[in-house]
Amino acid sequence: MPKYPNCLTIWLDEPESWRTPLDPRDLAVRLETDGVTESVAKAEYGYNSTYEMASHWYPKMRELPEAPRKPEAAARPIFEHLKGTGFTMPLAVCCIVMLFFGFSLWGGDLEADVAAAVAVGTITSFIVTGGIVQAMAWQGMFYLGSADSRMGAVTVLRWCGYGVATLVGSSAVGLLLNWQFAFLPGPLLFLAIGFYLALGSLWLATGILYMLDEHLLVTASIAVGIAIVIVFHLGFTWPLTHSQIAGVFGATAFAAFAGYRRLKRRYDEEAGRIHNRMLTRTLFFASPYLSYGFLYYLLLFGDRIIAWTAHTETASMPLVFRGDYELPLDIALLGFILSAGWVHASTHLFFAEVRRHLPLCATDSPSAFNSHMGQFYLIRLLYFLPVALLVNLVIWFVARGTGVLPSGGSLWIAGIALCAYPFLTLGLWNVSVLFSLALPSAVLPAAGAAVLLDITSGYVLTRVLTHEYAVVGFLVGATIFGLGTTITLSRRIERLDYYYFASGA
Amino acid sequence: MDAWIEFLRVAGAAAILFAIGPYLSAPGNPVHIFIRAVLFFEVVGLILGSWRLAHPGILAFIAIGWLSALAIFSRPHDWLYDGFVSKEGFLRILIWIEERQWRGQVTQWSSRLHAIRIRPGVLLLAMLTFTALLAWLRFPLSNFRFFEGESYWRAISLQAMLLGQSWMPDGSVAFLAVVGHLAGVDGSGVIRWIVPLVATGMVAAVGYCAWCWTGRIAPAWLASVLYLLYRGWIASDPLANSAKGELAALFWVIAAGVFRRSVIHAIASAAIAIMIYQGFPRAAVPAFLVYPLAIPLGLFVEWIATRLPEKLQFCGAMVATVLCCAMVFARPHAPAAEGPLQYESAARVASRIAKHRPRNTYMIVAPTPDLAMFQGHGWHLELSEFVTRSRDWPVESPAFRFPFEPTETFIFVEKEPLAEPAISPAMAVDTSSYHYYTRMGRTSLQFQAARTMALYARTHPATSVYYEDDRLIVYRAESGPLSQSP
Repeated sequence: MPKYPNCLTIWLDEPESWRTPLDPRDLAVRLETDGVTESVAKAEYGYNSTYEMASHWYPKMRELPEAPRKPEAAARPIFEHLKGTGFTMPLAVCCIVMLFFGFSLWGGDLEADVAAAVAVGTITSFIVTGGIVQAMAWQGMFYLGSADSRMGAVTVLRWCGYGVATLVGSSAVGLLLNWQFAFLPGPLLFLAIGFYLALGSLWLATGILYMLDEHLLVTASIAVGIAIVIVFHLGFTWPLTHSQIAGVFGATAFAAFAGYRRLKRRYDEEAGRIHNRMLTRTLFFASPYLSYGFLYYLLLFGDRIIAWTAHTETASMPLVFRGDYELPLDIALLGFILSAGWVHASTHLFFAEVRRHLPLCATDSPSAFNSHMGQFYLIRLLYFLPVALLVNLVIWFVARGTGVLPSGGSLWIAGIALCAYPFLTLGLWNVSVLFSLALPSAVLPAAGAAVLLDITSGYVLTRVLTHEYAVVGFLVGATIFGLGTTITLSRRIERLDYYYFASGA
Repeated sequence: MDAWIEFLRVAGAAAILFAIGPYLSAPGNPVHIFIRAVLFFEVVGLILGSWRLAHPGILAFIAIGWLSALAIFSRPHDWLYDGFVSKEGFLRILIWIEERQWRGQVTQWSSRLHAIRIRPGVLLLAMLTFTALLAWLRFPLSNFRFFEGESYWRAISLQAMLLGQSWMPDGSVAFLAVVGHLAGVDGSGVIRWIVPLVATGMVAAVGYCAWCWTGRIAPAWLASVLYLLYRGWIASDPLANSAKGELAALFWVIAAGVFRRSVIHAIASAAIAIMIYQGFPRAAVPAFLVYPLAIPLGLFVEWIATRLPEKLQFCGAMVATVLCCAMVFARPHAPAAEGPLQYESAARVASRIAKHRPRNTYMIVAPTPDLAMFQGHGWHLELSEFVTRSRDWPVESPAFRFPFEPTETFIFVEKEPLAEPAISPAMAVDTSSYHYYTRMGRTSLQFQAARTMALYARTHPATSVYYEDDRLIVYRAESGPLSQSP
């Protein structure tokens, strides 16, 4: 029996699984992709080159009937929107529990100093693990998506290991710095580190579940954590912060166990080669994802850090948790939660439209395709921004009407934050599309500029004026992030045909 | 140990800001780079300090922007971000790590160090500067107080600048704000540790200036030796001293040295000196007086030395250097054990309170010099004001509490009034000078404070003695917000 390359065998056995090649060059490219290089074509198949082999096989393939194409599944925007909103379910659960019990998995009615320590631990856990979760999802999904599940499982576990090592290492560095610079007094420092380690581990563990599309399990793990907090705090009358650390570790254990079980199943199901660990190379290729995760969370929380450290000369710590700044931001976060589903739905619809429209365009005139997608993108954009701003306006009026935000300062902060969040959502959509097009580095200039302007403008304004002005920095940063990524993506859409094929999206 | 770490933090920050950072951004003559860096941070410090904006974030932003600008404009082809170049650089680092090329780098560095080691002149000058560093480190390593009033005011001025408080422009501290922020050390710490660094720089600068004008190592070495011996043996001020004048003198000497090679940098150095001290400092005179002796003598020594075997040359110079170093350490008049403006124990206790108590939860009632040790950490009430206000307080009433916002109050009372440089009561122009510069005034003030505290402690059992020795007693009293006072 003559030997055939894998792709030809598949094509001959199941012609519907392979599109008919356009010409010998197309076939040659597909053969090379399947590992049939010049030397392989010569040594194993007896041709002088890959092109000669393709030329030989192309007429035979053309003789076979064109396989019927499966119709593209109809887009379901509302379903996709709800699915996207599912990302925020854990946050919603936390908010509901907060309403009933006055505390949640983290946060609650705490003394100002304790609240500051908890806030430091929470924010730094997001900033430090954000990039690691991004990189883990990128590499894990690459292997899992290319039917290399075994390597995918191993990769995810390796990233978790790097994440835990980073958390522990950075905690040691934090201890060392605090020993010299005395940012926080001893007990508060250990509380901050406790929250940092617990929440950082939770983000890593839930990152696995998010990557495996197990949103319900994420919500379940948060619910388990909250249940532990309630039992320990209300049942055993433990201090709230101690109960919360125990609860977060419980949630982490649940999420890690569930994630591990699912990864293990995939590992056992398929046989595959496990590549050696190449840390430096992995870090090199993952560096855009690591940088983006870090910058994104810095953008999200940078203004809080700036507000909390402004005008603390007369305070007992260099960092003061300011509830009057946090509450309006939390209210504004509602607008972000509502629009988060739009990111997922829009990304899904964008690529559904690409797949739907691409076959309709001639291969030698990609401009029509690119132009159509540019229009699609623009319409989607114009549809989103006014609607999001309108929804946020409603939230603001409801907050004012119900008296949740009584003072003028709080209303002002909430108003500015509600203006900023649509741009942040827009940026997230752009990032999602750019990541799908395998262009992670393209995101970094906009994200870097956004963080820089957020922090510098917020810093100067808060030091010259009052701490409330940190939110202006957030608005500036979010706007730069949204508009910057829009410009970046618009330029890529002008040559979308190339980027789409190059990425294999 | 803590003192050494704090010194290393200040020295490291100064090295990064004034030498390593600018040099790595735009390599060139190290002295020129130093002058440009100090001038830049001096001007930035004066402007931001006046606007009460010398905050760590703003200074960090300006410092990073400046270093980036230096890097961009020193390499004309890379003045814009080049993604390809960055990726290539990243890959080079990757290869550097994966192929363990750092091993070769270590060899290269060690060979460079070897090259430096075999230059006898460099080694001898390094020994002299290191000796100066150790000699001037002795006092701050074992003492918390300063040795002259000017240092207290400079420390308070720098700390006010770091905290973004109202600040009278002071060129002698403006360029140190960025050092304080980077090192994470307060004003008194920066002033304390900058003293040995300036003294070391002065010894090196005197030698450098001689080398610039003669191009020979022997006059440079001799100039440094003579200056070190002068400061160690002849100068009346002890090794702890380093006032504005000496800081300005350093830049005058550098200006004289670089004048021959770069007039612009000489002018810049002189401008820094003038911003630090308006006028020509007396401390610069001995440095310049060294040259008429050091240069001809150095040239003569070199002329003789060249006629001697090479090994003998080096051995002779080494013996002379070691002798000089030994003489500096064996100087006869060490700084006095106490004073002149503060008891050492008072400085230590104030620093300890600042280090171990949460910020702004306590008040210290003490003379103004003590403020330098805890400014920005806790509240301060001048002792004379405390005494004046206490006359109206019913301190013997058990219901009375000191009407201060912080919950703890520490009152520093001298059991033996400090014998600082005194003037006649008739010469006292105001209450402050009467209380602190006359024996009678100081004794009277301390007696009234002690009496107030004795009466208060008798009816307030919670009052305790926080620290006591033969000369000083520190009371700890509970205080409360104003609303709780009668």
